[in-house]
Amino acid sequence: MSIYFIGMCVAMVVFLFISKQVSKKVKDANDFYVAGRKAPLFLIAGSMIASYTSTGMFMGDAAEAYEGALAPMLLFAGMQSAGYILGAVFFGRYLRRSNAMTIPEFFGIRFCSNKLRKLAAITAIIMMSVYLLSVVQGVGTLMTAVTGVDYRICVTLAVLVFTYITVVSGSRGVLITDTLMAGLFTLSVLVSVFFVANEAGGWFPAISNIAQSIETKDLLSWAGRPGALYDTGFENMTWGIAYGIVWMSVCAVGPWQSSRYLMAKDEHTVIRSAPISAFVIFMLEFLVCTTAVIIRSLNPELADSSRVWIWAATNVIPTVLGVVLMTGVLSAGISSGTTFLSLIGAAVTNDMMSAQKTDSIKYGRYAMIITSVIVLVCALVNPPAIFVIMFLGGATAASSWMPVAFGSILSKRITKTGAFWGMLMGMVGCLAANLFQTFTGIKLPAYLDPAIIGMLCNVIAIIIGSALTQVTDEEKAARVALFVVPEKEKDSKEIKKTQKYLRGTILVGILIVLMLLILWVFPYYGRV
Amino acid sequence: MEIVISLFIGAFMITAGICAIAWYKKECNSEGENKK
Repeated sequence: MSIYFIGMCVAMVVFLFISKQVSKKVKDANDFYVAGRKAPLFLIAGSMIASYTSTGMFMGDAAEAYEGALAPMLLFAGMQSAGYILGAVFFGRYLRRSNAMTIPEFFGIRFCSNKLRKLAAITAIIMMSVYLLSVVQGVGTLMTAVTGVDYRICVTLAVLVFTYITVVSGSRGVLITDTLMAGLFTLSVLVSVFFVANEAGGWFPAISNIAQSIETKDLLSWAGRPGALYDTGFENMTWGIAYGIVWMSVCAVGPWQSSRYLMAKDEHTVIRSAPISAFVIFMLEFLVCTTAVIIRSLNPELADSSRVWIWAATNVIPTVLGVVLMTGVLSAGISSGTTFLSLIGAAVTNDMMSAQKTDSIKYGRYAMIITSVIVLVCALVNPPAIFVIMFLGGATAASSWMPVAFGSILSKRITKTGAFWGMLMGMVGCLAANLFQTFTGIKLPAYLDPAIIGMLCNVIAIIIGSALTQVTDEEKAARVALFVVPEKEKDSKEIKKTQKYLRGTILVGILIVLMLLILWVFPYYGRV
Repeated sequence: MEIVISLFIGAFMITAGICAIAWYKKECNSEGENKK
């Protein structure tokens, strides 16, 4: 049996044991779905990071950088990180203040509309199921590639583990295991980068060598390698900005991100978690993508670029660290799985079924188990029709939710009709653009990403729907209620501390610039 | 151009931070006004 497989199994057993211990503290629906609303800063930030990082970053984003699209990837990663700041302050704290159990419930309360709540729940279930499926497939592919164990066994193991964690310990267990997994992943990436750079002759010489070679200098240039994404640098940059807007929206209001705020012990925790998440996520994206380019200088012949880090873990990094790194990536995937599954359970039980509190946990667990079985079957069988629904992945959070989420706080004129049609048309627009591309074979320009089209449809529908209807007194009162700061949030010491964290976002911006200049730009120009 | 991209990313983050600081301060101030 491979040492990588043993390492992964040990990690999974540890996470199962922790979740079993945590389950003893789950007393009611509040504990199960929102971790008793007592989660401190490190658990919220840890879970935000863990929910974002998965095989998508480690295999998908790294593959794009390996192929020659580093600069557009960095541009998108920088813009998306700002989404954490905007999401926490302009949406997350009001979400926390509403005392809702789920985000669809928040929309229902804000717009006094059960119809909108149900639509939000349906969109949430679709986008998270799709994302869950892609995570499961990614984890299965990773485990098979590293361990040589059959894909079906790997997928089944992964699904069993995250289902057990979620079903037994609920959100409380998810937060704790998420934070541990985020720590393991972050630490293992940081140490692995050191070994990869060392193998290539050191970070700065490696970057300089890649930049000086005519064959490889495009990999690090702003324009990227022609054909890696698009043919010209201008198109690649346009893609980076468009994708940055989409993922900034996902990080700001996406259910697997903003739902963490519902579990925070107070609004200060919500805001304070933002600069931490923003910095760590950018740092990880930067290191994973830039190191993928360095790995290319060690092996430019990889047939499957999504396995760039797997190759490094099994060929460059010392075996023990390679085991820890692969276990960290597996953990990142499993942690995303636990988050998605717990949110699907909450949406089905609380928003679709409106179950009573006493039955809520029981039905939530049933919903999670049924979802896991469906996802497992899809991951194993991969039915041909699944590709249609796969178009409604993470981008749905941007196209369907973002304008409505920010509008619910910032606009006095948005009505329940506008919000409903905005959310619906956002999803339809995104799906239609994806289907158009698939069936006509016409590739839309970089600035017209399907999610951007969905967002535009959303905004237009909000404007028309809100112009044709009036904001009711009930809706006005619901919005006003969101601006009433609870007494417990008014401690002046805590407010000053939160303001310090917010000022820390300026420092995060400066650190990001320094990181880019010192570790990418200066060595690229041979100045280091 | 690589320098411009780096500065743009940093400026984007800082702008988001400034907007967030201003909004938070505005809400704190309006609470203060309400108290008076």
